[in-house]
Amino acid sequence: MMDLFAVLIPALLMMSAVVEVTMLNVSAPSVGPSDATPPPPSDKPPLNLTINITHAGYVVVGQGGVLSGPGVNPAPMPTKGQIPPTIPIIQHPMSCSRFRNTWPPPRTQNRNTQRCENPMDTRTFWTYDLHALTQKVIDVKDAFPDERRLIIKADADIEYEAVIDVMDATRDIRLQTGEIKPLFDEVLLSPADT
Amino acid sequence: MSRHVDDSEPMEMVGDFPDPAAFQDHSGGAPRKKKRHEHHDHPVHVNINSLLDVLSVILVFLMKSYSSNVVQIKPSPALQVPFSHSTMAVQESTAVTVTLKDILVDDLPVMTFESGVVPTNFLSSGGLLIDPLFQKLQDAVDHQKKIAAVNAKAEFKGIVTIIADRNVPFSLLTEVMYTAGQAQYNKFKFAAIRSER
Repeated sequence: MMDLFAVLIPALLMMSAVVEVTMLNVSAPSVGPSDATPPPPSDKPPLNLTINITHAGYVVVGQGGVLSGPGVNPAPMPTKGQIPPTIPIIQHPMSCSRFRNTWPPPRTQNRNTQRCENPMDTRTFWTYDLHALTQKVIDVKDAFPDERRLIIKADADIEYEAVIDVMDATRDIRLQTGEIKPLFDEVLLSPADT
Repeated sequence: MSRHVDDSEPMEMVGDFPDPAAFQDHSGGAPRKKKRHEHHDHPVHVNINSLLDVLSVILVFLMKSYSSNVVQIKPSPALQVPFSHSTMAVQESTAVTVTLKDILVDDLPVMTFESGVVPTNFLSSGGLLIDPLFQKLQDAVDHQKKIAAVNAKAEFKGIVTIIADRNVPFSLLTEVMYTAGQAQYNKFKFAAIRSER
């Protein structure tokens, strides 16, 4: 009996994950049969808020036009397609705890620097300005409170982690009262621009 | 550690405290050693019932927590899952794992990349459909529909969970999603490691 316990408990401890797994909902338009009913027609034109993730930053587009950005922190390289990013990447001190043996995204911008090795380190990297993106999305939400749909596009070689970061920054915010206010929690992933 | 005091002799008291002299060893060192030695001569019966109870509780707890994890992430150098502060609960679904080396469906390998990309002979539909993955997902759909035919509770929901390495390029991600969509999966979920906001 004791031998059985001695084998089973370490085996289960090894198999059970010590990390807590979570999920993010995503839709993929026009990539397969769907039984979802189309939304009823509305007088208001759809916002079609789109965030295009590029190596130089985020291009935020709504109702057919690129939204204006703060215009500071110029990106180190021009954006693909000659559209300047609404929210350019910035140089910001980052904790290495999440990026052990790698760099924060966009990795193409940081690859020529030394990667994070010690998780306790804090180092300055080029990084997406997620705080500015959240602020921009809050402004859009205030103007379009009924909209919940967000389209995320990206360059073909953008890392999956950068997509998850955008979804986190635009899904909801925690108010000062502790309440969670949804922003754009219906995400559609648009195929990559090649 | 307390010292043994013989109960048969009444202890002398000084005020409210026992007389320190009562703790002195009156019988010398040798007899005490002998007495301790006598204890070892008798068979020692260890009661492990309490220990077994504790181990049983730990075992049941571990088995329950293991079975409740419907999505298993096994981190490796080729599978570093990104972090997210989403609080959505994990749902039972078909799991497509995209590492830097290969693609797996429900932990079974489907195909291996060549130089980090899907071999061109595995691609069709304008380079968006990954044929081996499509075949495997269709088999999974057929299997789930067969189960649903005899068990109404196990209906096919069309949910696929994508567990991808954080360095996977967006183009590969959309290929995987397109392939899953063609195989009748129309609800996508990305797995991530939960982190604090």
